[in-house]
Amino acid sequence: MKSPKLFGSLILVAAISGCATGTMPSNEIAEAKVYISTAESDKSEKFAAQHLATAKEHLGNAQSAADKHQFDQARMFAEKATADARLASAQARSETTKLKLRELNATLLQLKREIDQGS
Amino acid sequence: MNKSLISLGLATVVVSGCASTDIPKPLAEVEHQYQVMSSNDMANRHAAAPLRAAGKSVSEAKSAWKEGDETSMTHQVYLAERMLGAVKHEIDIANMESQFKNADMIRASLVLQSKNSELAQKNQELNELKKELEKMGSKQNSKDNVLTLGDVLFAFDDHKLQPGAKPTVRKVADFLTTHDNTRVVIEGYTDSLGSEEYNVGLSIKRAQSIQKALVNAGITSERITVKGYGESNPVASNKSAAGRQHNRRVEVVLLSENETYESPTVARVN
Repeated sequence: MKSPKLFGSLILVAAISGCATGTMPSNEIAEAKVYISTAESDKSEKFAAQHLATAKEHLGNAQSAADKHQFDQARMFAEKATADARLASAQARSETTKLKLRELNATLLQLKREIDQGS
Repeated sequence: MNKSLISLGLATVVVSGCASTDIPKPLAEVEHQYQVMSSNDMANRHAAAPLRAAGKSVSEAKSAWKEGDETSMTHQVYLAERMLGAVKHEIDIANMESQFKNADMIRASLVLQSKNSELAQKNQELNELKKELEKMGSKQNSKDNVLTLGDVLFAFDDHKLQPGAKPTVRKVADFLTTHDNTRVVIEGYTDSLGSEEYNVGLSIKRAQSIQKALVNAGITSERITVKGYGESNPVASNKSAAGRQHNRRVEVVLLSENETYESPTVARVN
């Protein structure tokens, strides 16, 4: 009486975990969210829009895969989201720096011109 | 016989397995890029984290490929590509930052250059002004930043400016208008006739006369300080009328932006 019940529940557990393919990638999804918000504060909306959009798309896919308990899929999407968000951040910071440098060089040129005129 | 046939067969499988599945191109590419980057000093210094992540993905992609797990391999290649992209951006940023430092230095030297040329310009104008003042009858002393307005400006025992003083004052006012960050201290002096106390009062009044004239010429009074030193620090002998006339004078001390005024050490009249 007892034994078949236990056996049945074991089968049930196996079935669920089999369907769920691993564990919920909560950390990976949380990490992706953090990197996406960092990318946003690095102005990647403006300077790395494509990578940011890709990252967000991956995150969305990760979440819906997780909802369907397709955890391996979800983990990969979350990892992709993180990678794209990190790339977006770096690109955005690079572009911002480029603009600042251009501005600085323009200022220097202006300064030089003024000195040349002054003397 | 049978045994050796099997092992031959196995060997064939192993060999053909290796030969037919060359490392996939995307994996080979990303591995190559990673190797280039990992020997790049800038990458190691400025992009350690993404470089490490790329390395991890490359090795995971390789073991996935060896295990025949194409999904995982493709996934890790994707991650590695992004991380290597990030590494390149970090290197660009580091290079630009060094240009910023360079630019700071250029800016500093330009500012210095501009200050020097301004200063040179100012000194030249000051020398010209001194020459003109000298021509107008005010003997100049050797101090660089001091203009002497003398002789003809005041009559004996009087602090009112003589009519002839106007062009002299205008020259000084023009200079101060051009160099509007220059402040002045007007020091009044007298000859030795009369009491010392009286002469100090007279010297202050003389300095104030110049101050008033400068203010009338458009110089704001905040830029002007007035001092009276009476008969001290004579520039000529008080024994002759000519010497005394030299001593009845006003000295204008020019102070640039951060310069502070030092009052002259008071020498007694013999």
